[in-house]
Amino acid sequence: MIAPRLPDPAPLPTPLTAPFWNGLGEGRLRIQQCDACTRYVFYPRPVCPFCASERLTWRDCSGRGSLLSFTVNHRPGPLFSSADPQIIALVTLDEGARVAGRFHGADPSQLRLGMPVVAVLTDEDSTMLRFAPAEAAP
Amino acid sequence: MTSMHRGDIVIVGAAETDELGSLPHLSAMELHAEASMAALRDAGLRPSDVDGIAAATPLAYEVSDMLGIRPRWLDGTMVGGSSFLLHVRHAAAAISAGAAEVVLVSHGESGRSRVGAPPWTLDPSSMAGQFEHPLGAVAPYSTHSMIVRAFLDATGMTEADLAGVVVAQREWARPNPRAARRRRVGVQEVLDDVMISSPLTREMCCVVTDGGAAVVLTSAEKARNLPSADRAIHLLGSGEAAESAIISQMDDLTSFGASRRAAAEAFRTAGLAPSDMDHAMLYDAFAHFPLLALEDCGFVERGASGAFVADGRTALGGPLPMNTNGGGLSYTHTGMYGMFAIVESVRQLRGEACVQVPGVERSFVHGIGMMYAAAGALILSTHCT
Repeated sequence: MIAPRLPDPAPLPTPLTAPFWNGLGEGRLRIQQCDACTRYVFYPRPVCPFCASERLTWRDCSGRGSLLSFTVNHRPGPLFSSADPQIIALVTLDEGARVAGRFHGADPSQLRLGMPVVAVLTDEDSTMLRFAPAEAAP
Repeated sequence: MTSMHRGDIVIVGAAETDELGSLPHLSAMELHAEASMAALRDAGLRPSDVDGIAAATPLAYEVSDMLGIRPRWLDGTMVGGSSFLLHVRHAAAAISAGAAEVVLVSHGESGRSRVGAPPWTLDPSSMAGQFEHPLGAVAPYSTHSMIVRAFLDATGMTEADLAGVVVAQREWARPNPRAARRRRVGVQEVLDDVMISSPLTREMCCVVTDGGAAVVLTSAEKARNLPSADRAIHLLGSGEAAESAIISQMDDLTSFGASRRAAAEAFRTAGLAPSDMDHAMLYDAFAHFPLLALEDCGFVERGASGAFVADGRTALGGPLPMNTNGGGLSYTHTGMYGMFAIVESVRQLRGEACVQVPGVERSFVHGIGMMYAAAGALILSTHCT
């Protein structure tokens, strides 16, 4: 018999971040844009870190971006149900904001910094942002 | 008028626990107490002489009460491994302002055995808990490794430059009986070691240990009447800074702004430049840390750090002996390493180090904390200038 275990670490949204997570659950990538300076802001904030405006609006983003950095984590550790390596990526979205996500459907040896990537947006999993190489995207 | 910098504030006591490593017979609080009592003995002081306390975890008032201290000044600044550098800086400000006379900065951490320490817990509503932990960026090795590829790419360096740091620091640790890792390693062996989170191999990750360390500060004026007077170490300058609360949102993945700002303020307040330093302790939980810090603190030009280490410039006999106890990579790392860097700096300045660099008069201590969220810097000296 396999002992019951806790689920993988998952986000607990707050009122501040709920629009992001609700959007992801609907297959949409939503990021705040500052009404005043027009820059995109991530992580979610009540105040624009660039110009201190308190007026930010949630926008649907394209999901397209470029690979800024990545690691292949060979030691997920006991908190995760799978011991398979995790490809963790930092992506600069075309809208300008930087986000972190898990990479899927990629051979790590094929990853190059600066390569185009695209968010994998489905309504099946709303616990993390997922990316794939742009060519391989559906 | 006592100034916060320029030598008016001194470290009069500095000590580590007798043992470092795997210490399941000692709780975190006992590690605090042993290190603090040793630092006070080193200073020629007793707990009743202390009127200011600083600690990260357990909390400052818990540590002071365990030692029977009734402080009139407390600092519980918690910025991970750099906390203790900020505590020293804050203590200097407090002493110069008359808010405290003798400050004990204490660290005890059962980082390996987790005795008397709270269990690791994640806050799933924190920004890291929402936007990093679910991805697998939970442990420091997988979290820090996210930025290494970007740093190497931006500077034209390779994994061999990371391995060079491990090799250089191991040479410092080899003669040091207190160091956790002492076996000589070569660049290829480090590169070929087990991959933990690319490009970091096991040898590029710090040890995980139990241990404690503490320092005692007072004014140079009061120190003149202590038995430790001739061993007092002067604080010439200091700086601190904070940046992004989560590493994936660092302003620049390839250069840490908090390190740049903390170091710049330390040099400015001391009226000195990086070239004036005889010795440096640059925080090293992972092999890329000292490379970023050498560049961010102004010791070398952008992209030159890997060659600087590989060419032996940070080795014994080089112009900038660095991480001379072996660092977090080889000596010890309880989780929050900064206090051990401060104590090694004091030992080098006093001429009491295990592997002593001849003639160290000015030492630079750097710390980062909470991944790449905060940084601190201290400039310490044998003299008040």
